Amino acid sequence: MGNWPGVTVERREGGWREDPSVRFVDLPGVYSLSPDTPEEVVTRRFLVEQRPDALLNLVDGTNLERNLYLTTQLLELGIPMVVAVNRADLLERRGQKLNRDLLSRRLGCPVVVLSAARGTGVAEAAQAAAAAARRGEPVKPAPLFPPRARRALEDVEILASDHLPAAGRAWYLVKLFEGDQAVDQALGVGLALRQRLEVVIAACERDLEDDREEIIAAGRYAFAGTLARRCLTRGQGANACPSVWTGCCSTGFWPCRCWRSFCWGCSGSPSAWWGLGGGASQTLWQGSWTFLGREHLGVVPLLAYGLEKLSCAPWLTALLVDGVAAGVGAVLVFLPQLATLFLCLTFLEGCGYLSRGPICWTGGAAVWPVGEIGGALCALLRLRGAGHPGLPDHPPDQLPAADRHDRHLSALWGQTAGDRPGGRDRDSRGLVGGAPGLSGGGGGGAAVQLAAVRQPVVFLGRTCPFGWSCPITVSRLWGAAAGTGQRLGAFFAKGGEPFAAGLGGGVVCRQLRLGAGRVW
Amino acid sequence: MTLDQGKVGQVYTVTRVGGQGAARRRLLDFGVLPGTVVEIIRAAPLGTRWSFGCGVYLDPPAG
Repeated sequence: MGNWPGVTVERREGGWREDPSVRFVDLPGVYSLSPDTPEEVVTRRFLVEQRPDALLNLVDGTNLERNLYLTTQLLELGIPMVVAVNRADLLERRGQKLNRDLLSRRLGCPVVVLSAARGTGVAEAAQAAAAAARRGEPVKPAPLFPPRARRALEDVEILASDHLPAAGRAWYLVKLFEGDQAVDQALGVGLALRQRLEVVIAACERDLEDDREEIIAAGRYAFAGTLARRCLTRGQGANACPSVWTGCCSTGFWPCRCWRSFCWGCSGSPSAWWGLGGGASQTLWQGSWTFLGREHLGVVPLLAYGLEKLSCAPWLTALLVDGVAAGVGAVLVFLPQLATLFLCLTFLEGCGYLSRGPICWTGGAAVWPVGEIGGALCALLRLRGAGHPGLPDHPPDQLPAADRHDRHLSALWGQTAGDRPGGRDRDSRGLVGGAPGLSGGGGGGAAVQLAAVRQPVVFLGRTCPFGWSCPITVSRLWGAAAGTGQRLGAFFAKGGEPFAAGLGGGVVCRQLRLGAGRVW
Repeated sequence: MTLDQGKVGQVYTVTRVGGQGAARRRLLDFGVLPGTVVEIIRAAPLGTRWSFGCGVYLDPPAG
C-alpha cells in the first residue's frame, strides 16, 4: 500500500475482517523507488526483497501525473497490482472525470476509485487487492522508453543475464541502467561487468544526448503525463464547493466561528451535562419526583419496592438494591455525560483536531519569519526520526504555492493542530486502538482566538479552504454514533468486570453459607 | 542562467538539470526535467531554498 509521503513513516500491518488469511501492510508513502530518503528505503526494501503477493497502489487523483510516475516503477516489479485512485470526492468537486477503463487498459491492471475522506470505495479496493493476490497474475511493465533506450536495456539484459533474478527483472534492468549502486551490490555485479555495462549505457547517452537518469525519468514522465491527461478531463472551478453547508464551513467569514463554537460546544457540553443533566438523572435514578400530582419513584426505590413485593430474601434484596443499583449503578447516572463526551471526542477526531500534532503551529510560527512553512519543519523532524502521524495533508514538497496566503493557511492548519498537548505516541495509539485519552488544551483558547482574528482579516473575500474538514456529514453521523457506542461499550465492559466479579462472589459466598445468619 | 538567478513570478524552461547524486535524482523524480516549464513562486530571503511549481503544479491543488 502506498500513501502520501509523510503520512506513514514506518510499516504497519493489519488483518482484514473479511478474510483473516489476508494481511495488509501499510508502507511509507513515496514518490519514487530511489534509495535516498528513509521512507523510500523502507518501501523499496520491502517491495523488492519481500515481494508481497499483491500491491494496492494508492494514487492521488488530483495529482495523477506525479503519482503515476511511481506506478510505472511498481509495474516493473511485476507484482500483481491494483491501482486505487483516491480523492474521488475532490475530483468530483472540481468537475473532473476519470476514464477508469482507459487507465486500467494502459496500465494493464485493475483500477478502483475511492475516496478515503468519505470512506467510499475502500472495501472495493481491499477486495480487488485480495483478488489480485489470489489470481497472482504479474503485471507487465508499460512501454516507457524511446527505442534507443530500449535497445540499450536489452543489451544490459544480455550482459547481466547471469545476475538478474526472474522476478522483477524489468525493474532491476532499469536500475542497472541507471547505475544504482545498491542494486549492483544486491545482484553481485562486479567491477568488470559494471565497466562493460558502462560502455553500453554511455553509447546510449551519447546517441540520445541525455543523461541516463534523465532518459529514464523523462520516459516515465512522458508516459505518466500523457496517460494522466488522457484519462482525466479538465475541471472547471478548482475550488467549487459542493454544498452551502461546506461552503459556509470552509470559506469566508463563517468557518472560524463555526469552528470556535464547535470546539466550545465539544469541550463545554459534557461539563454542562455534569451540572444540569447530572442532577436530573440523579433524581431519576435514586430519588422520587412528583408529576401530575402523583409521586413517582426513581429506579432504585422502585427496585426495592418490587423486590419487597416479590418477598425476596433480604440478603438478595440488599445485594441488588444497595450494592448493585445504588452503589455500582450510580455510575449509570453519568451515562448521558459519558455519551456526550464520547460523541464530542468522535467529532473532534473527525475534523482532524486530535490527530494533528502541535509541531506545525509552534514550529510554523518559529520558521515563519524566514519564509518557511510549518509543514517544512515537520519534514525536518521526520528526517530526524520523529515521525508524526498527524502531519498536514499537504506535505511541503506537495505544497506548491507557499505565498503569504498559504503561509497563513498553514498557520491555521497548525492551529487546528495546536490544541492538543501530548506526545505523538499517545496520539497514534489513541487513533489505532482503544479510546484516546481526554486532552484539554491549554493553548487551545489562544489558537481559537488567533484563528478567529486572522481568518476574516487575511482571507476576507477569498475562496480558501479553512484548515478543518467539516465533521458533520450524514455518512459520518453514523460513524460517530457507532464510535460513541463502541467507546461506551468498552467503558462498561471494563467497569463491569469488577462489578460482575463482586456480584458473583456475593452469590457464591451466600451459597456456601460463608456469611450464614447475616444480612449483607 | 540558473534558477536562483530568476525572478519571483517569472516562468522559465528547464534546459539542463545540474547537480549530482541524490539531490539531482530527487529533482528528476519530481519531474524537473529538461523542457519542463517552471514558475518561481517564492524565494527564501537568504536565497537558499526555493519554492517553484512545474508541470501540473502550475495549478495549485484544491482543498
